Amino acid sequence: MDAEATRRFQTQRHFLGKIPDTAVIQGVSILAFLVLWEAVSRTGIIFKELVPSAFTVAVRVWNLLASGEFWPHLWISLYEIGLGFAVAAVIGVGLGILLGAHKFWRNVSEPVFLYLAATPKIIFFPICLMLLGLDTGSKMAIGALSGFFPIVICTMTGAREVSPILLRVARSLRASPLQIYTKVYFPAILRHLFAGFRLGMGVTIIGTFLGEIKLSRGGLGFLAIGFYSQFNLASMYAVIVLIFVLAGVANWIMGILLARFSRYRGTLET
Amino acid sequence: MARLKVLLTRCLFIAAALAMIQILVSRGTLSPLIVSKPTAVALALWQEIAGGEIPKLFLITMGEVAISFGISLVLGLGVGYFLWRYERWGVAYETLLGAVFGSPIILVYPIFLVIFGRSPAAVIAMGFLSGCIPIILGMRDGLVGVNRTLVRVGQSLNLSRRVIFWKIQLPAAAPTIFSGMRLGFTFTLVSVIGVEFLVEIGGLGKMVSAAYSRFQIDNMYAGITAIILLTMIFIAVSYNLQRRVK
Repeated sequence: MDAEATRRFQTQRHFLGKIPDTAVIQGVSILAFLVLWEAVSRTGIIFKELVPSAFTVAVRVWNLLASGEFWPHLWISLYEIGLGFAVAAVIGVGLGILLGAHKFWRNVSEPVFLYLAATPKIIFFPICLMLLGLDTGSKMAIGALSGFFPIVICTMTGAREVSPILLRVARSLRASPLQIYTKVYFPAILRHLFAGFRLGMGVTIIGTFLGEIKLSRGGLGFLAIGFYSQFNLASMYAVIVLIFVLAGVANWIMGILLARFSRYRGTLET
Repeated sequence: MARLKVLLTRCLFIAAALAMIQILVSRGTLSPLIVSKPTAVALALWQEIAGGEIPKLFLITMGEVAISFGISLVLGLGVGYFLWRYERWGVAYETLLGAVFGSPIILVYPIFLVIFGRSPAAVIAMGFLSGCIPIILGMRDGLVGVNRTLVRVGQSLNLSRRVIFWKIQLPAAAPTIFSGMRLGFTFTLVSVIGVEFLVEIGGLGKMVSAAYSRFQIDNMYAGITAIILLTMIFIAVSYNLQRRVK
């Protein structure tokens, strides 16, 4: 029904010519948001001097990108996110396959993971700080902790859905447990794995940036909260915009990977 | 019997993990300056509960969550209804809202700090923003997904549009709407506690951050434990409610 509605509206042409109705509404809404932002900023009716104009923020984004100040912080954030995500992925996938492959252990562990997944991970940040200090390690750790839960849960779900026929065939061919994990489970759960990676990447990014904002010596979160302390609001908004662009790009890449691997299915469909 | 075995194994594992931490800290393998003994955490938790500190902070957190969720609910259900009623807007906004929902929305909290200052209003605004989008999407998706045959049956009985909505469409959409509300509540709770921790204002989130700043490690772990327990209780309650709605 929904896909049908989308198709219907995309084929309906607006008075503007070839542009579909939905695109017109989306475009007008985004434009209205920017105009409202500009109006609030310029008139100062509400939040006087607290909302820099959209134009000023856009200029600051450009200035930041052109300055040498932005890039070192970006590399620090990317390093923390990359390593944090890698740790989350390795542990999450390993543990997810091991526990998910056995019904008993899956039942034992799954509720614990589900409950902990819903807890705000940032409250564990002080422990990361005490263990790993103020530098990149603690941000990497909170990123890894955040990313671990969606990855392990999705991997376990994938492992649960692997067809028993595939496993029986592997066993009848005398495959070793390691071969069963790497040659049967791993390829069969790729779809779930990448769904987990996509979710995991999103929360790793959130965890890392929140850690940087709370207490750090570098990274885009540190830069944003630094501008906040200096009451340099336009630059703070500009960094937040860039963080959202970064998160959007990461999500887009993970989406492409997910689409690429979604054709792998671990179940035998008849 | 099998369920009992699973439950016992789970409890045994958790107990073993806690006992191991207790031994490692007692022996000095793990520094007591970094990790507290589970018994010390339990004692601190009890003292904070009996002393009235945790109940007070719990009420503050729940107050913020209730206000955020209340606003999310009113606005979310209203906007969701609008986006279902006016299909063009619904199709157009589904993509936009999906994009916002998929973005790290909590990272805009410094903007709320600028606008509202270090006040509960900033926490509530963040809680609202995180909670309302799943409610909007749940309301719209629920109503869009209602089987057309059900509506046609209502029409063939000459029921008015209002009656069809209240007696057929809304009950049929209830599981999806509730699912969106559950997700919205979880996001609100997580955002409220998260911002409380980050800004060090309000309830239980503040407790963890303040205890860390004062180096009261037992209290910090007690705060973390209280938050985990609180989240667990709410998740369990909402799952049970969801099952009933279905």
